[in-house]
Amino acid sequence: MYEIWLMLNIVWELALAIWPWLLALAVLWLLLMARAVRRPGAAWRGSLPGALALAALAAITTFLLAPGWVHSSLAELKYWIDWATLLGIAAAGGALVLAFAWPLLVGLRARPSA
Amino acid sequence: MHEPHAHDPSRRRLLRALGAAPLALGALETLPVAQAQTSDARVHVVIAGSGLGGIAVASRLRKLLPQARITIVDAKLEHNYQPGYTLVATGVWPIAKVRDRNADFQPEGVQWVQEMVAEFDPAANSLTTTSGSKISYDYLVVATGLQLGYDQIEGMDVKAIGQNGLGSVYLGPEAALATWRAMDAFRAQGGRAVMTLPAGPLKCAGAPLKMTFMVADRLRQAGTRDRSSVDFYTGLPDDTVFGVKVVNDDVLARWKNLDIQPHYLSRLVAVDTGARKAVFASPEGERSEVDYDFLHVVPPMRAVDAVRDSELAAQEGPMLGWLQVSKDTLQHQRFANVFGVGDINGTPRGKTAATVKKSAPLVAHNLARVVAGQAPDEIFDGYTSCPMIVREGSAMLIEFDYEGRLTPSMPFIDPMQESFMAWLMKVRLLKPAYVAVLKGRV
Repeated sequence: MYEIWLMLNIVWELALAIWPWLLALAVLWLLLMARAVRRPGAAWRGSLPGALALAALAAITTFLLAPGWVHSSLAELKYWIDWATLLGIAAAGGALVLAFAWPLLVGLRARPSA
Repeated sequence: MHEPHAHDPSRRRLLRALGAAPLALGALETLPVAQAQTSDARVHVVIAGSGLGGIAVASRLRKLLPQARITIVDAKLEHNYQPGYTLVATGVWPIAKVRDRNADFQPEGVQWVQEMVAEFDPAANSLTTTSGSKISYDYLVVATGLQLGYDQIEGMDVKAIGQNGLGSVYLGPEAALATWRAMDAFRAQGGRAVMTLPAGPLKCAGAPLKMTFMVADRLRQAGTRDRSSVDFYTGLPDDTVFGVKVVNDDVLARWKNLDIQPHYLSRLVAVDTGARKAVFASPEGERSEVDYDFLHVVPPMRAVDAVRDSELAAQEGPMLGWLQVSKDTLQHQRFANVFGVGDINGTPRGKTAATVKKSAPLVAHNLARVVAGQAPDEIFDGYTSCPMIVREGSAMLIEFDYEGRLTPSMPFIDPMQESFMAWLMKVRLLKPAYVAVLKGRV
């Protein structure tokens, strides 16, 4: 329980350190969503494969580059917890891109109905 | 000098005003002390010291003793994240990451007297500041930290750190950065690295070992390891470089593989920084001179004079001069209205930020119990932690207690397994955890 509480606080402090960026991202996401939702004939299902592809690309990129961002390297992944940690970080990166790419693609693909 | 960061209270207020996460912030502020002892007594609590221990206890007491007057006494305007010094001194972090404004961490409603304590008079429940002002208290928390004994090394001039291959990670951010400059210049050429470790109580006793691992790794990266040697001189007995046997044996095995040569019962007693010569003494007083191209000085450490010269200090025993607290409750053994937190405590182990993380809530709780007329009931197990860097990109997360037993927070992870995850924690996650401790949340 304490470790979960500690981790929540770490995430909170990390977020506080970059809150202007997080706020900007949140506003951007809301704008993308608003634009996609208000478009008539929004192709959510049709846009999903493209968004998933971008998310997968982001996850793979994150997986390959994240160790270098913290002065480490893939060669240092020698323990199962390392792989689990990096996969988790990569999944988070992919999910973030998916959250933006999906409404973005919906907005780009949709056409006003005749 | 001051790294812009989000710990500024004005930013926090703005964040709240924006409604970014009021519920989350509310939860973060109320949960941690929900089960701790509280009291409405209108007492005056003085906290000597505004490092991690002092501020963390103040943050907790602000909530546990809402009617109390709380005063912090410390002249230090800059708050240094000391666990980051080894990262600065080895070229991993910029200096800005270990520098913040102390004002940003002072809890609301706490008075801050920006002076140092000159004298403690526990019999009179008062202390005197460097300007001569006398401050009386009902309860006292001693969180002064410790004193670095560079003056006990003949010829040592802290102003020379960074020059002529001289390094020392402990003095402060500037010294840590200067140490990196010296190490960086040394690794380009290679040569003889002489690393040191005194016997006796030490803050972050893992730091000299981390510096040794890292200087070997920096030489390897620069391609100069083959024409270099790394020697580790310690005042400790044979086959001892760390107080926990399983860790000690693991480190020595790693050093054997890395061709790092330990030398025991060798205390650094003098240095000629111009001629690059270090002098070591055996317990019998026999002196030997060692040439170096890079020297890492770890000074002996002692209690600050204000504590050492007062009745608060232990008058005998192995912790002579240190704050005489119960290792269990961290309450002073002769003055029941005095508690200690952090490096100044005369406890068997644990002069680390991790120890403060675990003990500050306990000190606040036990003090609140005493204020409420009850006996302290929380017992400290001596928890401490050492993220042991073994090279750039990999570390071991070692946690242990007073008895030297490993106490991993995550039992499914082998603490003696070097890992990327432990490194990630060291370079990215432990400072946010430290800030949460300062705010009294964890």
